Amino acid sequence: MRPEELGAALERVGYFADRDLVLSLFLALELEKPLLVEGDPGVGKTEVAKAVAAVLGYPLIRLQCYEGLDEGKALYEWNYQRQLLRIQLLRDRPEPAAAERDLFSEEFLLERPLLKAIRSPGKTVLLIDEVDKSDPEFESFLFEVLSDFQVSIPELGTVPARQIPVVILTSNNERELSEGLKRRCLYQHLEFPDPVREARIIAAKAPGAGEELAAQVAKAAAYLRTLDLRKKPSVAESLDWARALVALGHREVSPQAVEATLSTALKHRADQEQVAAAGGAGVIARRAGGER
Amino acid sequence: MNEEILARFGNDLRRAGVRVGTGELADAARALALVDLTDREAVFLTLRATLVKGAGSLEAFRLVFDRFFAPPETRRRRQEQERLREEERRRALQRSAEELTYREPHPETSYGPEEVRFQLTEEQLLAYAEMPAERRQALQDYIERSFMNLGTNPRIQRSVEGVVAGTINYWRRSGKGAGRGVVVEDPRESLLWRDIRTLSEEEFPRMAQLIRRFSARLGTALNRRYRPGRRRWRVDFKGTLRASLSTGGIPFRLRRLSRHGRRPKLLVLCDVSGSMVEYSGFVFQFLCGLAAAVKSLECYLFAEEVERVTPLLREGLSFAATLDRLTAASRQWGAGTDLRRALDLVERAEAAHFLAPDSLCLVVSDGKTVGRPAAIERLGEFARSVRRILWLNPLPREEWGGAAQFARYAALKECRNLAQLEGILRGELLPRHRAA
Repeated sequence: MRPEELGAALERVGYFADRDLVLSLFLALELEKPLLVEGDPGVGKTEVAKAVAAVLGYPLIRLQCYEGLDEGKALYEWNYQRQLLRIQLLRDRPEPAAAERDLFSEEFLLERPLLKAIRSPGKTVLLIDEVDKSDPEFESFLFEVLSDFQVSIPELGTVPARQIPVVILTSNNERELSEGLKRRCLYQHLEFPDPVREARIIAAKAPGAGEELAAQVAKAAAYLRTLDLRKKPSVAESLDWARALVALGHREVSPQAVEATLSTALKHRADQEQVAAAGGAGVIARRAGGER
Repeated sequence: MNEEILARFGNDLRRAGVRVGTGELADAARALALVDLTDREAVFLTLRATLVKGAGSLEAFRLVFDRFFAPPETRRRRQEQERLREEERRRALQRSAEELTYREPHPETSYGPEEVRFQLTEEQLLAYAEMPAERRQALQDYIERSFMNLGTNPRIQRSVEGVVAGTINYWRRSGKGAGRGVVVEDPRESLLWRDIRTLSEEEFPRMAQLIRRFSARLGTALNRRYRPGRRRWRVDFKGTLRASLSTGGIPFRLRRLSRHGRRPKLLVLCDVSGSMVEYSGFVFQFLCGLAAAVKSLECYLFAEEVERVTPLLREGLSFAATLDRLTAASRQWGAGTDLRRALDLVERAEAAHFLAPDSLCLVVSDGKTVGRPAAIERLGEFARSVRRILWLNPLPREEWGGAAQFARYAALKECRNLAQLEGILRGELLPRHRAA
C-alpha cells in the first residue's frame, strides 16, 4: 500500500492523519519496525493503532501500561492453580520427571497480550499504550519483543513470532524513555490537529454537527489550546463539546452556547477561571466565528 | 541516497546533539529506498521518522537537515556569509588586541618594554569589540594613565590586566554584550540550554511543561525494599507458606511482594532577596512544578524573614494566578538575605514534620547572605536534621565566591539552565533512573 493509499484508507475509517504520520506508518509497516508515537494527552495517539487495525483488518491486541506492570501481566503466567490440581491428581504416578515436564507445557500457559500477539497465527496490531507509565525495568523487558519479535520463556525456550505484528507504542512523554527502547522504534511526534483537520474529524464523528458548527468548535478548541491551561482540550473533548452543542440544539458557538457547554472541554476549575480571566465565553465565541 | 552522504548527515546530527546510531542510519537507508528521493518533504519526513527519537531533537534535526540538504545556491550564499563573518571576527580580534596594547611613547629613554600586550581570551576580545566607543576609549585611557604614572613593571601589568579583564567580563555578564559571538543557529541554544534569566514570559508555558515533566519523575522513584502488595513483582515465599496452612499445607494462593513508590518528603527554601529577583520567574515555575508533582512538600520563601507558601501552591491555580498571589502576599521580595535567621525560623516553624531523616531539603539561592560564617555553621546544624541538603545556585560556579563554602554541608549545584536542572533531578534525586 502506497502512502497516499494508506492516508485515504485511514480517512475511510474516520482517522484524518497528516502526511507526517501517514509516512511514518507506511515506513513502520514496510520496515516491520515498531512505531513510537509521542505527544500530549488527547492528540489521538491510541486512535492511530485502532485506525491501522481497522484499515488492515487485523485484530487489535492492547497492552495498557501502568506503574508496576510486570511480565506476569504483559507476557505470560503459569496457571498455578491448575498446575496444583494436576499435581494432586498425579500424586501416585510412577514417573515424576515426565509429570514435571507435563506441568510446564503450553497447556498451563496463560497468554498475556505480548505473547498473544507473538503466537497469533495471523497478523495483529499490538498497541503498547502509555509505555511511559511503566517502570524502566519493564522497558528493558520489551527489548526482545520489539527488536527480534520473540520472547523467551525459561521453561519452554524461545518463542518466535509466527507473524510479525504491527507494533505501535504510545507515550505521553511523562518520563524520558530509555535509549534502547527508542533505538528499536521509528518515531513520530503528534501535535494537536490544525483547525481544518479537526473540523473534518468533528464533522465525521459528531453526526448532526454539520460543517459550520464543526469548524467553529475546532477554531474554539484551537484558541483554548493557545492558553496556558493545566489540561488542554483533547480531540475527544472537542468531539464531546460538539455533541453537547448538538444535543442542546445550538447551531453555532455563541457566548450562551459556550457558557452552557464549556465544562465538556475544560475539566479543571483553574482552567475555567483562566478562560474567564481571558475574556470568557464572549472571546471564545468571537474566536470561533460564532458571534457576528 | 548514497550511504556516504547519509553517514555524513548522521555525523552532522551527532554534532548537533542528536544521538544517532549505526542501526538508525541503516533503517534510514532502507526507508529511503521506499520513498521518492526527488520529493524533499518525503525525504525530510523519512529521515526524521527513522533518525529522531524524541521531541527535544526535532528542532535540531530540522536545522541540520535544512543546512545539509540546502540547494547549491543557498549553500554557496551561506558559505560566503560564513566567510565574511569569519573575516569580520578576525578583524575585530586584531583591532581589539591593537587597541588594548600599550606602547611606550618614549622607548629610547625608557627601561621597560616597548609595548605591553595582555593575555585576554578570544571571547574577551570580541566582547571588547562590541563595547560602545566611549567605553572602549575609557578603558584605553585607563591603561595609558596607569602605565604612564606607575610604570610597566610586571606587578603593575598584572593588576592593570586584572582590571581590564574584569571590566570586560562584567560587561559581558551584564547581558549587554550577548549579541555577537553567539551562533544564532546553534540548535543547542534551545530552551534547555538558555540562561534561565533570559527566558521571556512567552516561554514560561514551555518551561513550565519541562519542569512539570522533570518534577513528575520525583513521584516515581521507588524504594529498595519489597513489601506485600498487589503489584506482584516477586513471590513472597514466607507469606505463601504461612497462607498455605489454611489449605492443609498446599500453597494454593501465591503471595507477592512489590516495591512501593517512595514519596519523597521535600522541604524547599527559596531565596527571594534582591540579588535573586532576576531568577524569580524560574524559581516560581520550579515551585509550581514541584507542588504539582510532589505530595509531601513544604515550601518557604526567605530573605530577612521566612514565609510559608505551601498552602498557596496547593490551591491548584494557574501559574499566572499563583505568581500574582505570591508577589502580592510576600513581603520578602527584594529584601536582604539572612540565611542563619531563615534556618532558625524554619526550624521553629517546622520542628517535627519535615525535619526528618528521610526528607530532602532543597535550597534555591545564590548564597549571598549576611554573616556568612554563622550561616555556614547554622547550615551544618540544619543538615543533621534532614537526609540531605541540595543547593541549587543560579550563578555560574566561578562567581560563587564565599558561597562555595556552603559545600561543607550541602551538595552545591550550578543551575543556570533547564538542562542543568534536568541533570540534577536525574542524577541527584533519582539514582534509580541513572542506573536505568
